[in-house]
Amino acid sequence: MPATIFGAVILTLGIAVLFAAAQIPRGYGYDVVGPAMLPQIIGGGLIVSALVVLAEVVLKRDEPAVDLSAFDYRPVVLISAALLLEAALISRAGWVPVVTGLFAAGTLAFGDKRAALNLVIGFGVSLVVLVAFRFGLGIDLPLGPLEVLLKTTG
Amino acid sequence: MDTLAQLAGGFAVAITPGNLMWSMIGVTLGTAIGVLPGIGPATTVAILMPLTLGLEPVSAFIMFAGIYYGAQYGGSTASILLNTPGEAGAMMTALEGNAMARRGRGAQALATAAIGSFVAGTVATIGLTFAAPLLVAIAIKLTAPDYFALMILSLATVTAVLGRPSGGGFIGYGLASLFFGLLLGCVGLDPQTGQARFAFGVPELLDGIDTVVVAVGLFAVGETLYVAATEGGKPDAMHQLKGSLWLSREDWSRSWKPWLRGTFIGFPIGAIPAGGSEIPTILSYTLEKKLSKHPEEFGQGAIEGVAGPEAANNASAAGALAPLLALGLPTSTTAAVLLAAFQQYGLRPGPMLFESNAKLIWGLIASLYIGNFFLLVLNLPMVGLWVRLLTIPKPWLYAGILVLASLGAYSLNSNAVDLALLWFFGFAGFSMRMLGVPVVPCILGLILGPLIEQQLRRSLAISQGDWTVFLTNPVSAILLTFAAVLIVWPLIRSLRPMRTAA
Repeated sequence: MPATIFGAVILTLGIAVLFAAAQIPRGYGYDVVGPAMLPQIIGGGLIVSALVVLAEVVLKRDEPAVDLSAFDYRPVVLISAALLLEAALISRAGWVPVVTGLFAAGTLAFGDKRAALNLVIGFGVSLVVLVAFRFGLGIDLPLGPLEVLLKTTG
Repeated sequence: MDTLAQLAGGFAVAITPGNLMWSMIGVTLGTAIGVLPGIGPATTVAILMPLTLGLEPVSAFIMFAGIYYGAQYGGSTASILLNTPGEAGAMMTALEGNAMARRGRGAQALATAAIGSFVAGTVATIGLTFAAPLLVAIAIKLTAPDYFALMILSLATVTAVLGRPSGGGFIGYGLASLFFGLLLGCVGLDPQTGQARFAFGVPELLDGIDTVVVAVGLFAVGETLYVAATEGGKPDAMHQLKGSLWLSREDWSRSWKPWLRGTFIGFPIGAIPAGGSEIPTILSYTLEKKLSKHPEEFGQGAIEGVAGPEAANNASAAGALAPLLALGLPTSTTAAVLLAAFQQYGLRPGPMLFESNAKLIWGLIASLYIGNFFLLVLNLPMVGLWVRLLTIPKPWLYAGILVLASLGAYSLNSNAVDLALLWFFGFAGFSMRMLGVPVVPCILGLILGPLIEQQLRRSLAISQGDWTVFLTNPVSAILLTFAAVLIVWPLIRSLRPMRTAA
């Protein structure tokens, strides 16, 4: 079953790529191969690989035994949510709060329920990284509200 | 003679106090991150890339050389003590080294891995020193169709070797992974015509998708999600180190030949497009088992079974640098990430770089010797510290890996879209891992896709649109035939059993 789903997903992706490739403007006289060429090959390649996967399933009937119900999806959802929140909020809230949250969510996903302790550790880790990168290596990590604080004191 | 003069020039660059320090920092950090369970060398190099962003290119690449060898060495520690190989090349070390650790000989396994890595790394770096200029001489003669065919061959080997992962995979899986990677490589502005492809109106995507984000997502985040979904926070069985690190006279006499044999297997196979370090380590293991006077010990903790594959692994890592530097052709995931690092600095490895930037190339090669030496003198005494890193409780360890991963992804371009992509590729990596879809073809497809397109267009521009140019040119015709056989043969084999069974 999993291989069949995978084959179907790749097949859909391949067809979508062919459609998207058809939207790319072409007709550049100075170039023999236009910008749509490789995407078209890729779309075709994806369809062929999907058909190969499906053919392997149909013909052999012994797809690799993967039991999708054996996985615990709760930690996956938790970590995913933390990463997406980080992406959404990092520009406004700054590096420290989102990474503190990511660290705490990560530990919780791995079954460590000491939330308060892990928030403190996450805060410490993110602060050390921020200071080391911003002031040691000159790489800008977003400060968020801290920016105001730094401006008023410095 | 000329090569030696160039190498001496490289040492002059690498032995300045500042660069020595970067090399030492690189080795230490590479080992520290590489030692974390499930983190292979490719991920280590990718995660640590932002650290070098503030440096000038020469120092950055000297640090990379240290990270590269440090990561290789660190991986073996986790494999031996925890049985968690970070990549395919560490599988044999994990098998035999962990068996040694279970028998209380973990310290000797670590020692033979460390000294073997040093021997193999040094011999293979000498090999690289002399092979790279020879490859450059060949590379100058290659035409656009040849380059195109060479890259296609490289993708075909990786797909054919890894398309059938242990556990019974399908060649279709490898192909799908490859084309997915090629698709990712297409995202952004087409370099020749400036047309946007697959950017869906997101301005951040116009610059393309960064290899580093994909590699860190697929490997580090994917691995974290996979461990969370399977084992959760249960601690691994860790084997304590007992007694002295020193090898007994018998250990030495059983190790030195496998070190050398592993080196001579690893270097050439690493240098050709054969899917990285998986094949040489397996070959070395099989060979040692065949030659051993005690074949019954294999699987129970035979020191030859650690010494040989570990040497082969390191030698193939050095071997992979030869085509990377001389041709701009990555043959392993780690090489692909290094190529991305070159691109980050606007440098293009290949014959021209030996001309235009000899100082950087030879400084990098010289610092491979130095990094390898630091690895030995720093790591034998520091092994206790690395072992302590392995005892970090899993929740903290993986939460820390998530923080490192987002640091690596974000600081490349200071761009929140890269974090969303990081999650996307993490989830993709998790799904691929669940189904047994190989990840390596995807990474190589991503980095080689744009280069292949460029050479394809160049070839067709020269031939004025005549596609037969790839077949009338003898070198490319041979390489492409070879690539076709590599893909079609397993395809026929995997589809045939049904016909006989039905």
